[in-house]
Amino acid sequence: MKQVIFACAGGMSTSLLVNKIRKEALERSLDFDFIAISEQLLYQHLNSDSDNIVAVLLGPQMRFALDESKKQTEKFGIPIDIIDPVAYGTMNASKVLDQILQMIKA
Amino acid sequence: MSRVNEVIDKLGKFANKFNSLRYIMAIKAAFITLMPVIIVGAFAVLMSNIVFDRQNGLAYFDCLSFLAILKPIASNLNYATLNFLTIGAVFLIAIELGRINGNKTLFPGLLAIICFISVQPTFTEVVVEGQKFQVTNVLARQFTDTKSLFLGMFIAIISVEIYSKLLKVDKLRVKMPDSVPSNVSASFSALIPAILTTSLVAAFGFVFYKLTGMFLYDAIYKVVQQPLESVMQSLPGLLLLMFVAQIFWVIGIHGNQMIKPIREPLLLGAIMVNMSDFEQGIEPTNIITMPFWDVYMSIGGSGCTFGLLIAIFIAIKRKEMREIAKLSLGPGIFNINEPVIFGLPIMLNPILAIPFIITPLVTGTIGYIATSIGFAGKAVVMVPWTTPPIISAYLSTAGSLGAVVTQLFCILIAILIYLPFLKIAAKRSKLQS
Repeated sequence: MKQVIFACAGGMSTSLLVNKIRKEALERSLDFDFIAISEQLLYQHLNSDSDNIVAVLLGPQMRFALDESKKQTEKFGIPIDIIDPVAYGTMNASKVLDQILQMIKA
Repeated sequence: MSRVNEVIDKLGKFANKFNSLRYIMAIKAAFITLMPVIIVGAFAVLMSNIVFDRQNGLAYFDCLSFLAILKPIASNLNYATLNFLTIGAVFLIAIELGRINGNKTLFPGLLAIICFISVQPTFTEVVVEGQKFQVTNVLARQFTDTKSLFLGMFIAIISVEIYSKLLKVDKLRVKMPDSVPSNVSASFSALIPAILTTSLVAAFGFVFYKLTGMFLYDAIYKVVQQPLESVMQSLPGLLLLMFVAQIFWVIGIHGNQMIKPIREPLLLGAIMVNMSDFEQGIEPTNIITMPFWDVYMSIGGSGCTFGLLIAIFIAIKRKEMREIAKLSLGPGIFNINEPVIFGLPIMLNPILAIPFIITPLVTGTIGYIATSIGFAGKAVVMVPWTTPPIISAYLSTAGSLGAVVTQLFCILIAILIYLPFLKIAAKRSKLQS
């Protein structure tokens, strides 16, 4: 299944969002696997499963890691972006899902 | 306002640069992997004292006294985790750094352990009836536990850096004829760099000892680790570190990630020392430890936002703020507060930034005073940062009710500090809408 990776410091706060996004995706009948991980493990996920990963999103508090993470995702041609801070804080799953669909299209 | 934006921009750029430093990345990643080791050690300490101990544990009761026989199991686990932390750290830092340098094998980890052991003395001196004896073929405890942590970090980094550089030198490759399978020739290509790296590090350790009469361990411990430890064991040092973390959170950057490379070795080291002391029945010395940070200065997440949530429920009627507070309560109990920081928001909010920065400094001071006068017990068990308040204070101090009371008092203080600022913020958002 196509995977969307969410990464933050420990994969804790993004997992909150992931639960909501799963529901939202189900309602829109979108077929994605949403995975919350620690940013440190991004490298491993990319190397073991790059064929299935369609997008990587970083929590806004991890935006300092964007440059380093981008170097890795670019190798596989996977789009990466920061989750909109307000959507993240309010756990607005619909807005974040729109953001993901935009990324995949582009 | 543009001045402020400039500062924010500069801090953001600094965060970027700092976290792209290879050594910082390697050390941070290594400590994340080490965490379960420390938790296993903590579990062993708890079991040893709460279950197997004849004086304080379940084994106190006659019908359960057989449990005391099992105490060595916990002690062995404790020894295997706490007293060997640096070996794990050296291995992991080296693997992470090797990976960042483009070496995907696990070999840099082994290489670094060899280099690390090669500069440590493998004998120890004991005094028996006034006579000094040298015991050979032993590695004393301080050479593998947290006392060697900084030496270990240095050696891991230096050895992998030398090795990575040498690997790139074409002349050092052992050339094989084409008829030799590629995997076989690959196994030789690392040979000369590995021999050179280990010899260089071992030789440096030897020369250093011959010239100064000190082992590298003594030098690094006295010149680097001990001074850093004493800064971190002082209240101003701790508050400064917290202040830096909070400033980064205010601009929406994960503050703990910024200070981790300094905080983790020192505060984790401090709790490990306390755990070892507690296990052996010695009075622990360190007031400031990793659990201290979580129990008194990060209740409900950075900025002690547990107090903020309660303050909103008590006194704020503004619907958006209550919504965010409701959403944040569940994760907040487990000290996760990103919804508060980005949703309320605290990020780039000059009004709420003030209590967000001040509160942990005040509660940290309260915790420090309460612990140093002996009202609250010192932390003697490592608990994960996601442990809910009250439970975290109780477990980390192995059941000090004074610590629980102090933590509750800190929550109360947090509520009182946040309240007036929340009222202003609510009024402002009402005016804006």
